Amino acid sequence: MRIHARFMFGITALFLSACIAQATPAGEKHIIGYATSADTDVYIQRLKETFQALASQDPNMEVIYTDAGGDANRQLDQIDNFLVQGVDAMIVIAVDFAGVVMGIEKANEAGVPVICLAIKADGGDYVFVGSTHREAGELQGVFIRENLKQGGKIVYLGGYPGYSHTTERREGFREEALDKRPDIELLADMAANYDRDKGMQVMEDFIQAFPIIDAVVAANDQMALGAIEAMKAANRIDGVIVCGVDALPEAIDAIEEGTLTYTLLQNAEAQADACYKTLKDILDGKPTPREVSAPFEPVTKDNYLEYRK
Amino acid sequence: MNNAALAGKWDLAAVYRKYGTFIIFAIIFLLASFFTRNFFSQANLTNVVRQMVVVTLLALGVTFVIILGHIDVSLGSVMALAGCISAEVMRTTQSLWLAVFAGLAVGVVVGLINGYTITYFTIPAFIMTLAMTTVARGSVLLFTGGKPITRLGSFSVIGQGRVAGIPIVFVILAFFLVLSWFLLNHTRFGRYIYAVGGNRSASIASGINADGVVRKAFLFNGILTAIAGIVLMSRMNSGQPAAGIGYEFDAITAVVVGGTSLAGGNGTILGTFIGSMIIAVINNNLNLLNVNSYWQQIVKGIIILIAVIIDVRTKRAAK
Repeated sequence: MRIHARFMFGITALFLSACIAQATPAGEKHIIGYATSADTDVYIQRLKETFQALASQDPNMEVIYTDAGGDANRQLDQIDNFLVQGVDAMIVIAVDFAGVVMGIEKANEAGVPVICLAIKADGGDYVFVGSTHREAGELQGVFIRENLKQGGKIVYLGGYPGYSHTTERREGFREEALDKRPDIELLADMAANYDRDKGMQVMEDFIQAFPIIDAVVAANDQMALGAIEAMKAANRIDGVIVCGVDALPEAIDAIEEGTLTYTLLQNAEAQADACYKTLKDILDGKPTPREVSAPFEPVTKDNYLEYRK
Repeated sequence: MNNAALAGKWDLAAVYRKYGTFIIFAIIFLLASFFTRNFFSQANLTNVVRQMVVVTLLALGVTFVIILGHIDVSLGSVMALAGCISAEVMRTTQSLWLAVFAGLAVGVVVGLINGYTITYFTIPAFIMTLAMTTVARGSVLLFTGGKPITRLGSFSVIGQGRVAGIPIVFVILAFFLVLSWFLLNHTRFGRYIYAVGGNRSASIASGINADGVVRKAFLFNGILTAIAGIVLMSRMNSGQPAAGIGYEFDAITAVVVGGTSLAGGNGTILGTFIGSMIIAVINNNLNLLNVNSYWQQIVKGIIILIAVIIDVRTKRAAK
């Protein structure tokens, strides 16, 4: 009985994995590794879906998808696995720009071409496709610089601490807004972890702490939307400039409603498309540039209708 | 029912109790070798071992704590703190020895704080280490300013280098495996661990300083956590303040799958090692078989659940 149970455990574990495994037919195909940083992120998921749609139409392309779940070390494991699986090229959305370098260098050593999608790595040899996080922060900074009144008071809601994208968005914003307009008063700069609920909580506290807030700059839309909820509840939303990043469908609604002022679309479809084309060029042995740009698109009251789906 | 049949049955059960985890590992390994393309290649098996080093180091340390009937849920955060401080010392001094020393010092300090607080205030280890989880994570974010530490020079030699063709991480793993085994099986400290974990009151009555044993176990656990952190950061050749989230779950899973009871009193180093290998092989196969990562999490949860159910059932049956 007991032995039976333990045997079952071992076998179930493997069968479970075998059953849900997608069959991988062998053949003379290009095998591509596609490593995402975290599939739970809406944007990363959109990139993947668009890429998947393109790649699945090509009978000579087999793509292995992995998800690092926000863990830079697990991503390195997955890159190691790609090399064992003999991929012809790999696409990597880095969990962290520094943490991924060892993996890219290994791929370089093995002669496997690497595309870094959406996030630039700190080193190694690769083709970058996307727009940078610093750029998102800079664009927000430029918008605030050009639209905020003299001596305006602002608060900043930052992303999850400890990740490079959080830092880059913040630094880009500070450079363009605060460094170039010293009259702007930064009341507070607080992490709200890219999370709507956290953004709302932090904003509720800010509303208590600061009698006047002229602008809220958030490192993504989720936090901006949370902050908007908090300001609505406190009846403090009128005339406040609110900036986000991502142009989520709900954010577009908020722009229509007049609560959100500015957001940035990192066009997932355009980026995934550019990534796929770059990949094809690499596989065909055509020369590719070091960087393929797919810039951010600002969304405001003036153009939001174009971005409504 | 004759005696011979009974004896045979008993023998099988005894054999199984002793080698069960190993048999499961062997079955999984064989199945994987046959059914998973690329699994049984030197390059991949090297990957599997390299990928299991960090979690196994954590699991070895926490085995001592779990046999005592305690738990440590702060492993991931403490690992990040020790690893990042080590990385920062490496960046500023470019001395590998100082960097390793600084990382170890963090492990010692955290281990002492955990051990002394738990025994002095007699609070549950779960609560103490839960508090330590956020304190350590907050500390590492404060210390690094939330940014990864880069430009580490030769720091990557620990995680990536080789001596005599053998990856250094294998040497580290083997060393601590043998050390843990020796401590638990061939020292008074090891015997006391089982005694205190099995029956605390009885061990105190027979003159064992139970609190002292708990403190030493947490100290050892802290040191191993620090080593795991140094290896982790070295592998990424950067100090990642957000690294290590959820690693305590993998480590505790390895220990439990390896046959150590969360109730304390029993467990072995070999079991923990095999438990780690089972987890590593399953993880590796799920990746090679291209299993959707959402499913992977479900599979891992089911595995820990089944392991604990079997643990409880075999114990009840043995009584």
